[in-house]
Amino acid sequence: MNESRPPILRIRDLHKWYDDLHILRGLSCDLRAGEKVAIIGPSGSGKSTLLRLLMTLESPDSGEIEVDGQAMWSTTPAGRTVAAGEDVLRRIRAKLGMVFQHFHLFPHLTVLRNITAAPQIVKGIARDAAERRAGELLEMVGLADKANAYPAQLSGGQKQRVAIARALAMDPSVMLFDEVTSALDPELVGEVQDVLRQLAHQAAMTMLIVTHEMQFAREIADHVMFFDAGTIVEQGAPEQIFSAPKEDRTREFLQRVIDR
Amino acid sequence: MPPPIDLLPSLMDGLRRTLVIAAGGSVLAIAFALLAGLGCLSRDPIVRTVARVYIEVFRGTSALVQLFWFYFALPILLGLRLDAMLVGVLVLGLNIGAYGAEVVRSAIESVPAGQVQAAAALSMNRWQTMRYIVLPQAILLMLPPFGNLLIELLKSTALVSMITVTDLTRAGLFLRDDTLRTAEVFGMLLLIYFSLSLMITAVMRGLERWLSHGQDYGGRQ
Repeated sequence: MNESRPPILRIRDLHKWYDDLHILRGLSCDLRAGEKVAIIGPSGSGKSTLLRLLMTLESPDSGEIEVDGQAMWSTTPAGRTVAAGEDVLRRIRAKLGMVFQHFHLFPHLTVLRNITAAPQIVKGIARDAAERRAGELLEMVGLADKANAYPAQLSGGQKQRVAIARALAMDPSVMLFDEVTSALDPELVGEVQDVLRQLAHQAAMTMLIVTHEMQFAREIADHVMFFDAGTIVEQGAPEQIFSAPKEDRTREFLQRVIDR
Repeated sequence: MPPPIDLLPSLMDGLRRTLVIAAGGSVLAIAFALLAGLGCLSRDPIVRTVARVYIEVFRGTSALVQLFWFYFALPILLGLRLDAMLVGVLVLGLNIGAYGAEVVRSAIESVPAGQVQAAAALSMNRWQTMRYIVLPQAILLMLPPFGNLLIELLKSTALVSMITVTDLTRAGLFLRDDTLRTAEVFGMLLLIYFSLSLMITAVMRGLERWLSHGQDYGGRQ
């Protein structure tokens, strides 16, 4: 990995309040292109909030976010936190893809149209080219035979695999996964994890994976961040975090979730 | 008593006017409902206010008084004399459109937030999200209440008889004066209005069935 390149994600002193709840408390971190990062930590620690801020589904109260060297949120000399212009934000967001815990497939569209909608509408890609690409992606997630099915006809695991294909169809360089197996029946978790494993083999793809599956985090990530109370308490290689955590809070958390 | 079929020809002109006003009013009502319903959800406070004022004024006053106002008062105040049929179409469109706007707004708001977030995560802008993701789902929710409103509009067309239009109802009144067959004439009117509203119901059902593929199990393959 080329260490001299600017990080693909650069986050500085990010703060977010929900009314009285200080959910992100000065979060800072860098991600290098191609890095596979797992974010673990108790619920309410700000893991999902970080992804939502990256996707501009919500706005930070203060702090800076840069994607691939372009400022998404920045601080003015007067100390105010401002978003980039609408056009810039859209261009930045096009580099990010997100997969949600609850899939959010479009129920009125077939599997194929779920995948081709954004490339056609947003990028203006021709229908047959979009469909060809969608076919490849469905092949990759093992659902080539479901192209003409509607989301209501699919199992949870199948829905989530379609959602991954849908995000990939926009060719993002960073994929954000927000607890993508948490809403699934236990027997369906494996098929979605398999798709993520496959994706992790692509060297260029940066992945930010919020997960409660510690085994999976350890296996797929080359860097693990432990979130607690709105900051990164500890981060490092999976071996170190899971086998020899330095911080008490990390140790306590891991004991709690792994003993379960 | 044989069915009073012989009365029908004398009612045809009135029926034709009723149909024109009902159809024109429906088209306008749907257009106003969409405009004002979307206007309520606009980011621009001026647009929101205009939409709210329109909805409250036309929902909160009597359709009959609105007809009088547009037909009798506007010529005096503004020197603007509109054709009675046109006033009928316009007022019923505005009146029912105001109710429809609330239907549109609530249907759009009941599409889950996750749908909008998923569209945003795919870089769709607000317009694209509305056009391709939210509206197609919301329209399905709008259809049943819209069916009610269009039937309401059809029945309200009888009010235009008060501003000199010889619609089906007024034609019936004339015919009763001519023939003195009160029960038969008004019986025919009931039957005709009822058949028309059955047709509206059938069309809305058909639309609903046609649009709901994919929303549930066993959708069109």
